[in-house]
Amino acid sequence: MRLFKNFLLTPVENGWKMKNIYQSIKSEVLKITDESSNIKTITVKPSEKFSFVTGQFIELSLDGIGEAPFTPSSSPYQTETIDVTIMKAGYVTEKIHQLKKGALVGIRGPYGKGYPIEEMFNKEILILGGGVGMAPLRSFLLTLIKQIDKFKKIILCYGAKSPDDIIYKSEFEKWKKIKKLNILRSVDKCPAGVWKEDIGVVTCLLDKAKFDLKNAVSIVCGPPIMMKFGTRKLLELGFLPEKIYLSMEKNMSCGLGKCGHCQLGPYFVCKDGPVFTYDKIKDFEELWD
Amino acid sequence: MEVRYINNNNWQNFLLNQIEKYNIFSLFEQGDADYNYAMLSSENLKDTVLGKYRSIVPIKSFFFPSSEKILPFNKKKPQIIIGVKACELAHLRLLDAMFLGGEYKDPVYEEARKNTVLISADCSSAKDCCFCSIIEGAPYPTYGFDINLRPVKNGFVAEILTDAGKALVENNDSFFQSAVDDHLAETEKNRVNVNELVIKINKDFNFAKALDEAVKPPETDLWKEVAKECVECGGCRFACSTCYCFLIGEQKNFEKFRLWDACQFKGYARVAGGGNPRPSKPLRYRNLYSCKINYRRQNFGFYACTGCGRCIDVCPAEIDIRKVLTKLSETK
Ligand SMILES: Cc1cc2nc3c(=O)[nH]c(=O)nc-3n(C[C@H](O)[C@H](O)[C@H](O)COP(=O)(O)OP(=O)(O)OC[C@H]3O[C@@H](n4cnc5c(N)ncnc54)[C@H](O)[C@@H]3O)c2cc1C
Ligand code: SF4
Ligand code: SF4
Ligand code: FES
Repeated sequence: MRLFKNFLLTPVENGWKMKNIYQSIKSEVLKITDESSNIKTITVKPSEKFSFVTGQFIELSLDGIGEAPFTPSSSPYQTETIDVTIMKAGYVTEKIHQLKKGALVGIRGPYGKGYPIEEMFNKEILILGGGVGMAPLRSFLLTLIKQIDKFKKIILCYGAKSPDDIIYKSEFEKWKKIKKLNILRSVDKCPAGVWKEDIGVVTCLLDKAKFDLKNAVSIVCGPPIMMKFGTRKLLELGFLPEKIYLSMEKNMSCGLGKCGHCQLGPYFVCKDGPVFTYDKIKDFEELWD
Repeated sequence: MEVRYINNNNWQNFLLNQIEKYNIFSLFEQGDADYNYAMLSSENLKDTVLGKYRSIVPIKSFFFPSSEKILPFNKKKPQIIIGVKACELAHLRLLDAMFLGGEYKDPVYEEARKNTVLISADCSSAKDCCFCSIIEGAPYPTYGFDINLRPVKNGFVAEILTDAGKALVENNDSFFQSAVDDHLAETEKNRVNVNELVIKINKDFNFAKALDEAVKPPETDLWKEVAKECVECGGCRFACSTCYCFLIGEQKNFEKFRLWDACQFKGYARVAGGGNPRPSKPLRYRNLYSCKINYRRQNFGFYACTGCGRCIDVCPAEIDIRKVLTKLSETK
């Protein structure tokens, strides 16, 4: 008797005709920009048409090495190429940092639900970002800037460890010139005299930000600890939980709501998020870890 | 639903007729009190049985094996699986919801699923670890099969539910006779008996309350107590057919495969930078029970535990989900 025989069957034929949901689009690395000592932006050109809504994410794969989720940092209106801003954090991201111009990577997606931009029309938008969390926020900000007439006002509070860790340095110079956009920045620590803006954790900037609470929404993305204290601060300032949009990071493998890894209570962050309003998820104890 | 009768002899001939066209997996005795699937051939045909209760191997292995290529993947030869039990049809209900529901269909699972005819069977007994009847189930199939067999003296009553089942019977019509009332009465009696048996086996467990309040299982010392014994082998999760978790691996030429993964492993939910939402065993245990009796029920309307008892069978620490749920009921 041959038990289990068939469980080990090996492939005989590729039965796939339509596109397999696990198939990625080959994309060429056109440009690599050093943002800081451990963050790079890679600009890729997908070999097929690819579009996304700001806040949605992609799975980026390196041939034979691995795959990891990232949020495009470019504007969704930029359709030919996509920017992905990546912090060196482990195995796959380390290999991504070693990529050279001309390399081929795979991207699949876009996945999840992005920011509901239309719900934010005519409102004041308070953006709170930390570290590489600025990546999705850059895409979000560029989306707002494109149709800036539709928003009352935009306030960007951004924090980094040190002046050197600030990413998108040259773009900040351009953004500062935009009338309806108010930028506040802080660094955690810095030798005296080098930095003219705020020093301290990013949440302190919220005390300086001026906004009309009744007509404001807030958008938060950054390291877990910052998300936690940022949200706490926003609540203290009077923001309703449903007015706080969080971009959640969980372990992900499939990105498609199948593999279970990103589970948060009854949700799968990859398909039900990654953007959630705080009211939806506030009761899960494992929220911030 | 059409109901027919087939005698033992015709049943063997019916099977023999399908061997050419299908890969047939059917049950064989393994040891004194267990069953397992093997591919049916003309040689082993005489030894195959319908099984008094479910097999050792989880039904998910046929549709979502422990490791498989997912990009590209194989076309599947049509297969028939015979002897599937009610708790396993309930497993498949959940797997279908996960893999085929939502915005994306998993093509690999779908390929296996659509090329399979399921011939299920009523249980004629139960294992000590069986508890379908006390978790919204019963030891006889009521949905999810193509053909269901109810054993009667010298043969089976065949309930034919789907077009695939109908086609199979119609193509072999001469083997089937019409079912008579006596047959049906006999099977009804068996159903009542086995259901009572399952209830009797589980008389010491009462977790209606834990199920009833399908709210999040509370933070209690119970999780610590249970998890203390757990050796983190993951066996319970791999044996469980409603455990759908997997990890994707990357191969050359952007090809992909997947492996079963389990929420009981420490690294399962770890993110880069070392953050981990469930770093300790008690937290992982609580999440597991939440997944089974709360979260998936919120998603789909049914529990992700069907009472098959496999996790009880395989656990080296002898952790018994029924005991845990009973204690949980008592802490409320
Ligand atoms: C929706 C989303 C968007 C994101 N966007 C961005 C972005 O724009 N920019 C950015 O820089 N980052 C982003 N991230 C984070 C980024 O995905 C991670 O930094 C990246 O996955 C790290 O991969 P790695 O292989 O380098 O890290 P590693 O830490 O080496 O590996 C991470 C993966 O491997 C597993 N793993 C590693 N070691 C072990 C172990 N010992 N045991 C078990 N499992 C292990 C982890 O569980 C995890 O799945 C995002 C994450 C999500 C979920
Ligand atoms: S749990 Fe119920 S349906 Fe499953 S094998 Fe046991 S008695 Fe049969
Ligand atoms: S949790 Fe245990 S009893 Fe429930 S379905 Fe899974 S293996 Fe069967
Ligand atoms: S990443 Fe697989 S379910 Fe969310």
